[in-house]
Amino acid sequence: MQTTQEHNVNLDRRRVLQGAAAAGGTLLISAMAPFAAIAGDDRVVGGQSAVGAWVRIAPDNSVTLIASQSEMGQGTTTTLAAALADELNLPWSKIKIEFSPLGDPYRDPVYHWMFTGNSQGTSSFYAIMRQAGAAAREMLIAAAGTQLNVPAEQLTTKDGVIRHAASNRWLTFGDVAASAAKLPVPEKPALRDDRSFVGHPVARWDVPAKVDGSAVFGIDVTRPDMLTAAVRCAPRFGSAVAKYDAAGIKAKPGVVAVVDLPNGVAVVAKTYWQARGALAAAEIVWSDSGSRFTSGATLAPVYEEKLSGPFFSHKAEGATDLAGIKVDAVYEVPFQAHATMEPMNCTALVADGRCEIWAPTQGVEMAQNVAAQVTGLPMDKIVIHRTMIGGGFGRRLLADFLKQTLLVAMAVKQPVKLIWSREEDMTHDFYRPAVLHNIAGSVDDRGKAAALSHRVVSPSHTLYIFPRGLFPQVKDWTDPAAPPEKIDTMAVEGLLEIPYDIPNQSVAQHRLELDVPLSVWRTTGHGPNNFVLESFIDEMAVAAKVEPLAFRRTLLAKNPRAQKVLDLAAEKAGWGRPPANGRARGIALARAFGGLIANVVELSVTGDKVKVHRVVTAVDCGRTLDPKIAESNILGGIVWGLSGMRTAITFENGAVAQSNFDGFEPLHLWETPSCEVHFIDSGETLGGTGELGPIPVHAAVCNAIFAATGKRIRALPLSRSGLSFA
Amino acid sequence: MISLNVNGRVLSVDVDPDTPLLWVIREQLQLTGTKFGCGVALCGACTVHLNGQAVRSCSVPVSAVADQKITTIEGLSPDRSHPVQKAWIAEQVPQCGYCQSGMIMAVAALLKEKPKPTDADIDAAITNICRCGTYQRIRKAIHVAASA
Repeated sequence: MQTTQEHNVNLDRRRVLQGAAAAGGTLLISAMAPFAAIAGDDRVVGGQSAVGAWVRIAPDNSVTLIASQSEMGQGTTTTLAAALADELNLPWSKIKIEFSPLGDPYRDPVYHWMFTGNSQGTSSFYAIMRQAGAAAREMLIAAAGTQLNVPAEQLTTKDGVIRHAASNRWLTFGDVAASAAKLPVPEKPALRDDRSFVGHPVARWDVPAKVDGSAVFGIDVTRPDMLTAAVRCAPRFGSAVAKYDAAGIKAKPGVVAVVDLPNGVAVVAKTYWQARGALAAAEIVWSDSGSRFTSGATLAPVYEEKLSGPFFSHKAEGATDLAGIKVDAVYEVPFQAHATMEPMNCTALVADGRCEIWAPTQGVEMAQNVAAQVTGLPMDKIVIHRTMIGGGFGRRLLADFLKQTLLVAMAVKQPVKLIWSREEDMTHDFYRPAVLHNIAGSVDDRGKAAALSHRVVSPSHTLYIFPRGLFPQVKDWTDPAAPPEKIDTMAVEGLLEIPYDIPNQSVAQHRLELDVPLSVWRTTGHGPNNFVLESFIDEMAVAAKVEPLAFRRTLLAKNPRAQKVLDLAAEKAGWGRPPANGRARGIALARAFGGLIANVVELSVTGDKVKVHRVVTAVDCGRTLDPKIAESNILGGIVWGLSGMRTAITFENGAVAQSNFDGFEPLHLWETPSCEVHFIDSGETLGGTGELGPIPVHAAVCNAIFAATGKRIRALPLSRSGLSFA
Repeated sequence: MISLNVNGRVLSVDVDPDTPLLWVIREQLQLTGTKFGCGVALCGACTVHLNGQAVRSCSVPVSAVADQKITTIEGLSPDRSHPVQKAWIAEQVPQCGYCQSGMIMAVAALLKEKPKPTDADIDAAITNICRCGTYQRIRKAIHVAASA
């Protein structure tokens, strides 16, 4: 059973984490943590009363949601606040949002680790938000009941007013917040059925400030007497600074300090342009890296030799070496950079036994711990202010840039903002690993897929992000640490839980260690694996001489939910009717992040130019809590997926060959096809939409290219096959 | 000292004349709505208006624009009332939002030149990069702003 398999994987992860917590003492787990009462001293924060961990109410009756999740445009904080507004029966205009500090209530309930990512911000916290809002409402009503000396059952709330109809008396939330904050948090508050916001498009709270330039991203932070730093790290992985002329740099205009970093140099000046200019003029000599990849443009041989070596078996069901029509192929997916529009940056002040940080971060728990490790200060002397995030995509789960900033801040003892150039950002990313995938299958005499086996050569995606409670031996949390094979399933994600009923399946992973820093990238393992799986399902359909949609449908008889998604995309795209002259269609399906998604792509190929005309998408993520936000995540995801068919990170002489948006060129507006998204509210468990959008696009495009040209694309980017987007 | 005319204010700044306009706007003038994305005029996050035309301020030395009329996102309207800003809110265009100041400035300049742009006009004029992929809503919002 595929579902059992997935369940076991999660249980394994959880068990290991809990064990690690008990041993290392770094993670404190409590089943009731999200609803813990606030301790006496913390009940009043900045004049607001904390009614539970999630809601603060000011005397002016404004209500602030304390958001565990970071906001990077995925809309999670709006949807969670909408759930809260519904439970409190408040108008949207009364709700404000602030980002929480590191705290036990704010940890993700699945991973017991505070972060924003893995498409689970909404699914992890939606039920918690409803309960938090309902609990706060009951506490406010109870406090009002005491004050008015009437039973709580006789009170109603609307628009922040608690009313006793019989006596025509009323109090505002603000009137009773301070006394409500002292009450115990009810464990099972009654949830409201009325939904004014959830299920409807809500105006995102962060949008107005993003159209007038007033939104404060990390790079926009300003502090009194702030200095600015530019940084240059060794271009080759494993290399360090051999020598440079520090005095020469210090003589440049505006330069205040030069700070040595473990593998680079930071120049601190009054302005960024001064710091950057002085750094650019410095002639830094780098040591030999000792990297295995100091020569040769490709890592393909390193991957290929692994295919014949030892492997870890994630799954082996039935015999995969069957009679029938056999298909066997090798696919390649490249390294990718996140290339967030806002380059890495951070601002910090370390002085007087305190550390204050302003950071665009997805990884609060990682950041706070790294800050403690770097500064040697206790956790309660470190404050992290989260800013708006100019693109995360997984990159900002890490704290490498934060560590650099702290090292500089400690050296200059003044507030300092450290900003990476685009070149630094692209050549010092933690890249989505490249994957080599040998996939084989057989089709029985009824034209149905009977066996499927995967041999995946992939490094771990989670070396730098797996919750550090698992690794008590790791003292610097920016260092890599490999989780045990059994729970390091990200490299085979999407292969262990395919939607299709294929009786014989095996999934084996050849692990690979590289000198290249690697981490998660929007779509994690699902992206590369779905490209291979869904392209190969098409290959099997061709071998079986069955039309691609019909071939998939034969494998979905036991999965009506997936079949419905596939059928909806096909129907809306007019799959049954031939496309316009010169156009061809491709279809692909994915199950990921608790949801299902299908794409039908319509394109034409002229010479070596691929013009994508239309992408029709169907999604079942259980329930769309905000149709507009869900749609924007899927639409943006499709653009991300198409971009990833053109971009790739490659290496030359041990360094990354791409350095800016010319060598690594995301999709532009003029290349963006017309897209439509159709949602199915199945009522199943909530999934996430943040990373779902890009997943089946690669295969849907390549299957359409095959339909148009007869050419099967087994390696990305498209330029490997001499193709480019028109 | 270089004399600048930014958002209708005349002021002078004491900087190296080679400093890109972007960094003068962000650091000396503290107008941080204009963003740094690539530094080489590829992404358009730093787009401002120079005498009404869209320019990529990361690649314009401040000395080249002395006394010319510069408008940043902060100067587009005092209250988000520019038709492009209104359309951006109505269509909920931004995601992370980092590229959007530059997008809005590029679009405002386009609409000044071509009040009713075709899709082909939009394709040719709006070359800024958005990594979140908000392009479909951008196109729609441009048409909404054009019909306002």
